[in-house]
Amino acid sequence: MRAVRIGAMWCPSCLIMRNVYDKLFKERGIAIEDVDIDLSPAAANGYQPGIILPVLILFDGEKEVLRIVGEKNKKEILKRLEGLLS
Amino acid sequence: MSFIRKLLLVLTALAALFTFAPPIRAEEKINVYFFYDRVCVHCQAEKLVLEEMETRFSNIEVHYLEITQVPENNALFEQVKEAFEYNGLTPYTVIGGVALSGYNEQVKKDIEKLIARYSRTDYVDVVAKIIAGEPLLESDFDTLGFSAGDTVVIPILGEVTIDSLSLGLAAVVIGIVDGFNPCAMWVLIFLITMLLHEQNRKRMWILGVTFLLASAVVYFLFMVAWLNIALSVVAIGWIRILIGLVAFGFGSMNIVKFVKESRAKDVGCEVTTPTRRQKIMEKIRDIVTKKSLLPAMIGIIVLAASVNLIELACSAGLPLLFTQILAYNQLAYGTYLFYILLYILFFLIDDLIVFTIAMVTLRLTGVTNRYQKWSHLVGGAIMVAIGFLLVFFPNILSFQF
Repeated sequence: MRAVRIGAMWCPSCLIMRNVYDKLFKERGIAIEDVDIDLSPAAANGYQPGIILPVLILFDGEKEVLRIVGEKNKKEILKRLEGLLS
Repeated sequence: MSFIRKLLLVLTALAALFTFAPPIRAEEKINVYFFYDRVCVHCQAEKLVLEEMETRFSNIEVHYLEITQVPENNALFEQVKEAFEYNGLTPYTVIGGVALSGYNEQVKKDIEKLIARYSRTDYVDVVAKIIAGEPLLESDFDTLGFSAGDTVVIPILGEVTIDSLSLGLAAVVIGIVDGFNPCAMWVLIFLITMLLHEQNRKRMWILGVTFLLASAVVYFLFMVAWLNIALSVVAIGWIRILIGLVAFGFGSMNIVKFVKESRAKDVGCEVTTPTRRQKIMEKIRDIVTKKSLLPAMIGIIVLAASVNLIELACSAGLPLLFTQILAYNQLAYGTYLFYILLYILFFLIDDLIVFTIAMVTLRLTGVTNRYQKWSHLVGGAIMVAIGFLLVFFPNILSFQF
């Protein structure tokens, strides 16, 4: 499993979610690859992030298995991760 | 509780923001001067009410002054309007030091309130002084201020109790709501991100504070400019109604935005206008990497001025309406400026908190966008409420009830 997090330096929601994702994924031993929409627009657009940031995409190999968009609370994220990380 | 009821409650609470406590002056008998036009429908309605009041209150005397048939009455009417600096239309009622224009349920309540007030306290009969040719003093004029427990009639809601609050509270509340509409917040976040890479803490503080101060100055200049315009057009009725309608329109748009955002699945940062954003980010990088402090500070000031002016369009409604409210209150010019500064302080409070935390902890904290939709609701409700008051009850905004 690997996670890609698309965000921007100017985005308050990305700052808020950064700590939540860092903690959750570190505990589960999953590395997060950060892609900044302004610094690496081509790479970011490759993931078709849409217009709301941040976007977290979870891959199982090359297959996208989960996409979380915007600000979410920890409980909601855990619920969506349920089954995927077991 | 339904959405409409919640909204009405918010509007009522907002109407309660605009109240004041007045001074009072002296005399015995209560003369009610009623200037009317024989063909005006509202005049006829008020005339009936005054006739009924004459039977109810034994201590009042109503002077019925028709202005289209009796030139002397019309001449007195002109003198009275000039004295009160209140160029209202008929029906125009003067009791003691208070002039009321137009007629509706609220005016009826205001007349009753003035009769009750002057039955227990002394006052000056301004019209009697005009007739007698006596010079008028500023202290002869009174205001129809609400005191705790007084009520105001609002359509749909009916009678609403109003407690004594002030312009200061309005400045604080509207300023905070305006500040939570984070149009320019992203620039501050990006600037702080860049500043956090600086090794020099002192330089970080100087550049950050310069940005915030310059933003405040731009906002201040904008609000003072609008206040000056508002002061020059404050007596023009159709402009007041036009502003009220525009406020009502913008407020409604904000409420619609809130409804849309409430239905949206995801809340976060919306990616818009990438080219302009890229340009501003380039400018910030350029400024922060300047070796000398002075050019960096000048760059920051120019950046703050340009960004705030551009982003002003997104939140112009509330500062414009607040200066409009100020213009309806006769204050010393310095007092106007004080209220504008108070507004700006609370407008910037979220920016100040984010900046201070970042500078002290060297970690950047965001302000969640989850509350953005609520800023649209409250901001929209304030605009609708002020628009409503501007059109129907401008005397409430002028704190001369």
